[in-house]
Amino acid sequence: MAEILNIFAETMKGLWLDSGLSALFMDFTDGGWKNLVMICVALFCMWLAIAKGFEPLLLLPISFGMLLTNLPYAEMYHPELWTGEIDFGNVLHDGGLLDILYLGVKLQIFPPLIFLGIGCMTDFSPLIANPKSFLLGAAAQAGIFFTFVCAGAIGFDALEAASIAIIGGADGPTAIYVSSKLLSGEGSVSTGNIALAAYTYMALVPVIQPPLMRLFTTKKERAVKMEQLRVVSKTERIIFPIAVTLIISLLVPSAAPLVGMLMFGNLLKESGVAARLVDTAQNALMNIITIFLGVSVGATTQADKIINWSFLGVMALGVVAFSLGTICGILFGKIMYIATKGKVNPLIGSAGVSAVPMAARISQKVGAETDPTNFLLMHAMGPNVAGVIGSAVAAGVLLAVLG
Amino acid sequence: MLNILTLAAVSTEAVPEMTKSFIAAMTITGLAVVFLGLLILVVYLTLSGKLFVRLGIGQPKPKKAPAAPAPKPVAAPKPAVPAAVAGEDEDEIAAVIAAVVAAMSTADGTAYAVRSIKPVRRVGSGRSAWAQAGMADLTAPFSIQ
Repeated sequence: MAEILNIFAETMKGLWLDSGLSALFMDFTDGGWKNLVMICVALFCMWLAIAKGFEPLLLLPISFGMLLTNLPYAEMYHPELWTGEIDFGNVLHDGGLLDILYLGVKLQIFPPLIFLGIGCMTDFSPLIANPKSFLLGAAAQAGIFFTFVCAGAIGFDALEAASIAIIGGADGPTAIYVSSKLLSGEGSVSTGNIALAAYTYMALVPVIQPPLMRLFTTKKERAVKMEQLRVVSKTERIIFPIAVTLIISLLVPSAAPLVGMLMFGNLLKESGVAARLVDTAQNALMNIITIFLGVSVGATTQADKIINWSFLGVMALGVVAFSLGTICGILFGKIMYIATKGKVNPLIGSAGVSAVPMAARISQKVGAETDPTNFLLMHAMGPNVAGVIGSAVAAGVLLAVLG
Repeated sequence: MLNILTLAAVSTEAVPEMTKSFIAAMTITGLAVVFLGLLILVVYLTLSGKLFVRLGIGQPKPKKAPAAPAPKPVAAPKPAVPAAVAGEDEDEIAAVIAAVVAAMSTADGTAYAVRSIKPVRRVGSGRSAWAQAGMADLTAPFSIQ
């Protein structure tokens, strides 16, 4: 009987020592508390996604990935496999589920596939009808490069600064694409940090942008009613993605995966002959990739990557990037307002920061506050979709120089 | 300036130091390439757009003007409404308006007269009331949180 009790006690002790609870509480002072904090952060993010509706399609998978990766001994994600020179054979042999999924991020597969789905859902007609919108989309990307300056001044290295700066593109897949390629995993900034900051601020666009829009425009400017856009023919819409792919990919080849897939998706849509492919790309494929991308990026948000001063720096610079992008877009909108003798409403400039279609809807909302009969939505969609192309080009430049 | 741009080109070899000149080079190069790329697209789209409009490809064809309906004499409603509006529907609308005004006169004892009915010059959007209502409906559910 005593022997049975002995074996029972030994087994229970072994089970306790192998459990996540022992890791959390026995090693509480030796990093266990950080895991607990991260589990609480994950739960908070889930609450934001479910109760407040903050980018739930992405925040929910990211926060669940965060929860899984911070469970001691769960062995779903191994950061040591992704540090320095990556041995992909080792990842396949020893990796957990989230390591395998993270291959899609590290090998730059998921973000371009997300862009394929976005291309299938995007109507570029407002941009084709008003090509000058491209300039507003370009101006808003200035936020990326000015944030690069700020990150450099704070002390981040070139790769970290570029990864943080791309948050200003207000484009989640682009931010993940750039940061996963540039960051080695050895530093204090991870792809998860960047994704978390990017999606947080994208959800907060309705809070960040309106005060800046009111601050940098006059009531007279906000009241400008723009001319109705011309009708764009189907032929133009079909040629557009081919032309953009050729021009951008020849100019900045490193932007080709993002721009190419975005335009491929759009060509599928506009051609009208591939309805089944469009349906798959914009629904099933997009949803599957979103789940994989979200949960695997969430897995990179481990305690030691989040609970440090660098993450606070990333969050602070993220809001700087969004704000600078918005301001640059508005200021360029004001230049166009003057150049066209009042025919362009500067409010559409803020939509150049991507964040489709939220940023365009903010332009509509703020414009309607001044004059309820003013409908800027379609005019703002031009800079908005131009911003997607612009941020992909900016990402291409950063990768070409630093990648 | 040339030195700065050269520095950016050379920096592809290894992770560069965040010196002031590198940061300046990166910012200038980045902005220049983004603007250049998108400017080329502006030029292409402007030219192709003009070409498509000139060739009339995909542009809506002008509708044939319908034959003007023969004027139909309609008995003037009471109180009298001037013939400022044309067509059967407009006459009916004028009659309804006149009837509403007459009802108001009966209700409060004050005499009202409809002197004229003119089409309203739409200021601003140029959309009809129905189009305005549709747009308002589409954009109304959005509210800043």
